[in-house]
Amino acid sequence: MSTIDRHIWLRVIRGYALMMAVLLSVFSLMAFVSELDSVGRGTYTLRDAVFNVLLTVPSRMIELAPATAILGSIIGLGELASGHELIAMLALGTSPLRIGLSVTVTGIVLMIAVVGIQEWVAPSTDQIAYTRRIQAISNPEALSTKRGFWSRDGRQFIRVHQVLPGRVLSDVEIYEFDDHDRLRLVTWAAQADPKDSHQWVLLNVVQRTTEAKGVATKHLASLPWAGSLTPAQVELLILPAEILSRAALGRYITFLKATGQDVARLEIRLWQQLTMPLSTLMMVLVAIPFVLGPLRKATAGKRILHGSLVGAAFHLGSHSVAYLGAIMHLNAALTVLSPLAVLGGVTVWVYRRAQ
Amino acid sequence: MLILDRYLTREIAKPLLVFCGGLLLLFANFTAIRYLNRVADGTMPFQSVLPLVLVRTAVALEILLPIALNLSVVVTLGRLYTDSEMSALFGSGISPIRVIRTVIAGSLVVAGIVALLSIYVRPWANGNRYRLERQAVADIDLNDMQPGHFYENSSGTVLFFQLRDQSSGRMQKVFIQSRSEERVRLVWAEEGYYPEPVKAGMGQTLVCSSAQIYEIYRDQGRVRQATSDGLVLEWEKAHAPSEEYRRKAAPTWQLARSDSPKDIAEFQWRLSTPVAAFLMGLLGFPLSRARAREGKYAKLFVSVLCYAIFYNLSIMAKAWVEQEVVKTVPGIWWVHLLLGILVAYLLWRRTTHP
Repeated sequence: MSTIDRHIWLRVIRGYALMMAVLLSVFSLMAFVSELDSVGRGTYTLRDAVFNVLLTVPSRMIELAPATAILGSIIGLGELASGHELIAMLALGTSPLRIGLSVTVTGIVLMIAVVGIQEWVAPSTDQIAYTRRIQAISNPEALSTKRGFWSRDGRQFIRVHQVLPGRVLSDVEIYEFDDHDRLRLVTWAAQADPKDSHQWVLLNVVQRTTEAKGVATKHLASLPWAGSLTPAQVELLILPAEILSRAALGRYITFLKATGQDVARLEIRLWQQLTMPLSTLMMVLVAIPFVLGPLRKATAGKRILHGSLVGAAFHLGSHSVAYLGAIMHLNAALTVLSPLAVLGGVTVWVYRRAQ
Repeated sequence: MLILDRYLTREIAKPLLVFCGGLLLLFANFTAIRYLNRVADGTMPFQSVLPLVLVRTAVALEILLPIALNLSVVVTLGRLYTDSEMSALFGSGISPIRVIRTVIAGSLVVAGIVALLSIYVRPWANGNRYRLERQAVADIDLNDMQPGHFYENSSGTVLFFQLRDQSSGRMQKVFIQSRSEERVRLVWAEEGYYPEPVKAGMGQTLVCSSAQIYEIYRDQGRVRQATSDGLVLEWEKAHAPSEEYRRKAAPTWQLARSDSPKDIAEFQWRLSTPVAAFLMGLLGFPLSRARAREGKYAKLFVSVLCYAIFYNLSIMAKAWVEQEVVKTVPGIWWVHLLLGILVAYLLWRRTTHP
């Protein structure tokens, strides 16, 4: 590692840190303002709102990573350019490619940080924040979603009124249709306790079987129940897909696919998560020609404006394509990778123009 | 206006537009993506996205403008320090008070814009936002729903369908469940569709063909069964959007006459945002001082930290007034008083030790 590399790395990393601090404080403040709307609902207090905003900082950092990458690189390199240090480096024989490589290395460091936060920090802090919020707002004793909780397992439709702590389900209804689309079995249970990680025990059960001669009703104290909805999956189902880790999201998609439910949006979400570090790195690469290219004489303000425009256009464009892909059930990998390919093409074109 | 004033004003205004534009762009971007996710879920119509993003961005401006002003003052004056232009100015007899006067004038203009935003635009935009959100919920079109998802309407009826016919757009293999105290009603239909186009705020009717209908009575052990080739269901009732009182959308004059602590907190917030913008602009002057090799971004960290602490404290102060933890006097003003004292002290130090 040469002194020049070290110097570039430090400046660019300082640029990232600066932009992250600016964007994170502004966006956290916005999140705080919107959290305040919930203060007073249930037992949700101002302290809960503060904790919620703090706990969601890691996921906000991931969300802001691409914007930080482009703006941080522009600021870091821009400082070197306006201090004529880049000119001095070029005069000393350092090639633009070498400078670009040095910046790319910092981009890779940022990418590794994004992956680390995305995999090990954000899902757990987000889940804590989500659970605390829901518990405070709805019912301190139970965790429930707004709509109750519905799932489908082949020809069974399952409704759970609430998920209590310890993966206990309360007020469970299972409607089962036969191969001729006729209602075959209706099962109502006051509670479902997890027997192990694959099975439940339904308690206080009323089961009605519809037959040609009429309806047969059975009352049972308990009934074992195993389906593709396992106790281990309940936690995944009640959490919004946005806050699941990649591994959990993958398991969730497998479960939904196996039970015939739509996974288009979730597959795209998974691919967005997988390619987030790559898009962050691409943003770093796009930033380089802004400083080394024809814009090197531009003011910092112009550079930031151009960087913001490119960053925002890419961000909104890629999400719009993802949204269209989810609606039209396009291939998830292609939907997510195509805007990145376009960005790559634009970067190469800008480089060529800059040279 | 003298050349120096014009120069300083122009130099501060340029980054102000860039920072404010950049932050607004990012904010609008993130807001649009959140709403687009709801559209993809089928819980919001696509046409509601743009108006909602615009009104939310208008409300955000009152918080984004002060930080953009503060950053512009810090960056611009920081550059003048690092390029030794400030030394040249002071050396040629220009006093720091003269520079401060320009910053005060610029901050007053921004404070005036923030006052307009806060007093008039905020209630107008929030009113529109609530209306649009209510309308978006009422206007969810069955055609926007995606196969393989569960949906629930305002009366708690749940709908799931397996497929959508690409040519007719009709839902196929439709499961519908509704419930009352004593019975659960299930419908399993081969196909479901809208008989006529949906109009905003109007009721929505769903026609199910080849439908099996089951009424299951909880206590009597009875299941009533029927079939229908053209079952007509009311999916969503027609309703006028409710005009529930929301203080963020209430006119400022109405809040001014209210005795409720929550209204007073909102009223004080609206009056305080221009004061905050003015103080944040002034704070930029002492924070901008940089040594020659320090770089014009050196003080941005401190600047952002001050902004974050001040606004978070203000928001907490507002919540405390709403919850009656703090009386309406001093209300939320003590935070501004603290910032005012800090700014006055830092300005006094800068003018006495330029």
